[in-house]
Amino acid sequence: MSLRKGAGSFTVAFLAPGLVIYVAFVVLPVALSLYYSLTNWNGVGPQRWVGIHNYIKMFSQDPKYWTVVKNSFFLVGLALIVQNPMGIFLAYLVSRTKHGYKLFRSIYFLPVVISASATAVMFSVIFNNQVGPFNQLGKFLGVSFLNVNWLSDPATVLPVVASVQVWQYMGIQFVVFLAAVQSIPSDIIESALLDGASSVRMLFSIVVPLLWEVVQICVIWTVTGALKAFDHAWLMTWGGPGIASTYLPVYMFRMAFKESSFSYGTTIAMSILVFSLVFTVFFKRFMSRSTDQF
Amino acid sequence: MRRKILGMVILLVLLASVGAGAKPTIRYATSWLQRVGGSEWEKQIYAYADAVKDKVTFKWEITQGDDLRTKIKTDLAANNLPDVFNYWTRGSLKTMVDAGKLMEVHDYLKNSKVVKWEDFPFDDWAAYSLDGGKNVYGFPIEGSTAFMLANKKLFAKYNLKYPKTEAELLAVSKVFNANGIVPLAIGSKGGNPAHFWVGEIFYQLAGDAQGQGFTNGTVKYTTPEMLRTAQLIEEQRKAGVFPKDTLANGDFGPAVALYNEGKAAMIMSFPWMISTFSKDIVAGSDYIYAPAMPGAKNLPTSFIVGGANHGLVVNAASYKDPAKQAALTDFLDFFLSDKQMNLLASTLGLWVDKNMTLDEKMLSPLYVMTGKGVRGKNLWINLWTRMPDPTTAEVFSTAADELWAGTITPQGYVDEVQKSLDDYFASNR
Amino acid sequence: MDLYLSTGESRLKRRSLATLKYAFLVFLVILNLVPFAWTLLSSIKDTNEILANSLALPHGVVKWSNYPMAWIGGHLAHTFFNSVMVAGTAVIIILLFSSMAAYIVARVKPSLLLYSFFTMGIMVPVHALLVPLFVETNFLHLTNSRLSLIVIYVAVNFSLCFFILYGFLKTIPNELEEAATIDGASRSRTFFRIILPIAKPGLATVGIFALITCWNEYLIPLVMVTDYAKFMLSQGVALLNAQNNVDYGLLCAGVSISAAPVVVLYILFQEQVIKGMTAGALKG
Repeated sequence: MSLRKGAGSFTVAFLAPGLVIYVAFVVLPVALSLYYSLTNWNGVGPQRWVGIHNYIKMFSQDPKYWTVVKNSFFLVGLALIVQNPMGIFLAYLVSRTKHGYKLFRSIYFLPVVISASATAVMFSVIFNNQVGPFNQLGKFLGVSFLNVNWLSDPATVLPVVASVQVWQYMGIQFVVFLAAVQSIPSDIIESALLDGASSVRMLFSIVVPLLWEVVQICVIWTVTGALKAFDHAWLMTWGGPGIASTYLPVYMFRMAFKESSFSYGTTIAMSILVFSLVFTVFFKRFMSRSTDQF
Repeated sequence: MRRKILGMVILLVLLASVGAGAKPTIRYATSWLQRVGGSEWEKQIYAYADAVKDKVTFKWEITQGDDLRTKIKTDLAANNLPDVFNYWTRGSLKTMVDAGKLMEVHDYLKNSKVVKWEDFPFDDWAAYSLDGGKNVYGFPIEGSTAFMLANKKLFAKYNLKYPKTEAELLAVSKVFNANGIVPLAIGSKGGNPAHFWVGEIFYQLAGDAQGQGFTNGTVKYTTPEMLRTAQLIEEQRKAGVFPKDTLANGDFGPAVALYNEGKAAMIMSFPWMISTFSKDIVAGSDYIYAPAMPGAKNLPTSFIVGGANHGLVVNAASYKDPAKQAALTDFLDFFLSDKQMNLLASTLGLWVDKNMTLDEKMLSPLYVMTGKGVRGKNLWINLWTRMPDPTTAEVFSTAADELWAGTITPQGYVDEVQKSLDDYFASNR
Repeated sequence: MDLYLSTGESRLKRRSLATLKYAFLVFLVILNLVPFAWTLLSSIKDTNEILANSLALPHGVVKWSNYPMAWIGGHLAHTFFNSVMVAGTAVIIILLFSSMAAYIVARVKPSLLLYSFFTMGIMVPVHALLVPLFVETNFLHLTNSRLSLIVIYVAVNFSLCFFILYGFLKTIPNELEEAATIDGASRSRTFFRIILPIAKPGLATVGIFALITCWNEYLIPLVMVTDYAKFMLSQGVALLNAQNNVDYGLLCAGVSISAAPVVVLYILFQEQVIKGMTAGALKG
């Protein structure tokens, strides 16, 4: 076929720029990080080879690590349970709304465009029990349950920090699903209506299955994004108190840059990679059995 | 496309190498520049750089607060240490000193026509030494002298007296809490400013010698006095002495924010915050000493927690570089001069350790008040500075967060820090 | 939108469901907007008032001076410019490089190996790469430079953009290229003149994802760029929240200023933004 003639130099020329930068600034650093994780390096001086010692330490001798993993999984869970379903649900609702359609669409996406650091700083003031509005709101309404030390109480700090992230990025799922919902061919809808389907049934038996491809992409994106979450936790609480609001990347950062244990830090980073990889592989395998071909 | 990229790379490398042959570039990394509001001290630094720009190019690398530590650690790991930079003392320096990265001050002192060994108190030189003062690796400039203030109006409003014992502290806290006032604005974020309070109580119960013991491992953190300290702190936490939202109100700034607005009755603060206190609140405050804890061996009125905390260090390799040595010597002469020290004290409000009399006319009332309160007292080094290396210092800091938030028991607190110390000594004997 | 209303539902049920729906949507609007509203409100107050009087309008003096002080103290002018320059350049390069690579793997020389290799990067947490990246930029004499940021941004966004564009390019019918070849167009001509224009929606999606990511980056510039003249916007705002800060009003003003341009741009271009993400999502 004509497409294959002369593919050689063209292929190389088009692949080269991306490939060079990708290899030099992603692949090579990953390899270097892997190397660091197999050494005992505190940031200065020679690196001593210690093999998988760091990994053993992380998996079996560091109880904090597992608490941090649990925190990260909490965020993943919250994102999956709130962001994606809410995104679909909202998209469905808004697609059926004539009045204010544009307004809703703009406002729901707004938090996404604000930088994470600005958002985190903003919420660290809002959730400050001494300075922020919750305490005063509670007094105004005459209720006491709002008088909570959101960022200091270990029971609330993780949900609060995780919620801020979910709040900020929900708009992305919403817009993506909105587009997808609106792309459902109208004849499918019409025939469903003719069959007498109620709107709720419509959502679950027609809309969701057709959006499956989009859902899969969003899920992978949400999960890997949650496993990499750093900014909000760091800027609101430094991951504290202690490790109550520490995610894996925050823990990695603290180890590498605060405690100068670069080796241990990169070990943790490697584990993030492994979690993401395992999830993606399993998810894809699981999903490939249920794609809808019509 | 590929040729263009190759060409760019070659050009970049050429440019870089050409740049290296010309006049030297001195990189100064600090957190004292570009503060909100600026300062006269800063203006003078820029004026100096401008005056010598034909001979030297200065590059300012600015990071605020503790982020400077992170930046330097990253620089160190990438073998890209700045030429001269601000840094902390004692244990913080360990990794750099062990690797021979820092200039020993006598190398400079023998070249300097302006600064002499006698210009700084020996105890402060010792802060930049890991062997008791034989080899000193930095210039002690900033002290961390803690001071306590009490809001006159608030105490008068509720008919209370300044607490002199812990029992009195708990009693006044009850009244303040009932009226929505934070009794003592000490929270904990990254250990700040909480660890100073830990030091205050511990030194009352035990004394400075024990603190020194932490550094060389002769005293365990799990010592009974430290456990008692943690228990007292937990007691105070439960009684509402500290701000309840301890993390959000932790760190130096938020504490002063509370005090400035009359939301806190007392505060423990530090020289680098002096310029952030409002004039009104200073006029309405009294200088007080910490209340005495039950079983205190050392009266709180006999000592102050502080010690040289921060200062200037020089990259050893940079100083050895003949192209840079003259420029660095000149910069240090300027930086450490009496005139600049005066400005540091008056416009940045920093507690200057140099042996000199500060021009009192230029100092703020709070600075003068603190100076009076410190006169004649023992100056005992704060515990964070006593931690032997950066890793133990970090664990010490985060453990304080947990103690203040109540997520760890007093025993758990001392155990956690001890474990880190154990790990350190196990690998450093 | 009446398309969705089935004839079987009673009028009352329709009305009450509609009310419920609107209530819910409005509640979410409030949820999304209130934090911004509160921040704006606080930005013109004295810290004193924020502490004492969090919810109401300022009683005493309206402290407009917070804004010029935040502007200067947060170095928001030049950090904003830096962010625009770095993010803008990075996005253009990302679009170019990732679309070129995706085109090859999607249409010219399909290869599972290349596809997996390129998309692996999605899982890599950038923070893991910080020290090696620092070492590398040092080696290339690119420390403390905006160029290093651009290159790194391109690298870390490459995988996701490749992934999205791959899905997009795969759906373009083969006939287009065959027609172009018959007309005698060279391969790169085909790509730039024919394929790319069709892929505009996908490019818009990718461009927006990349722009938002680069704009929001905080940690990478924090570590890589310490020359304050080259600070990014996120670092400028962070300067206001320095440990020594005691002025919450100032802080809120700084956050407002840093968010305002983006919000304005978004309001002006929201049609394109959403259209882009819309179209991209369909094909992706």
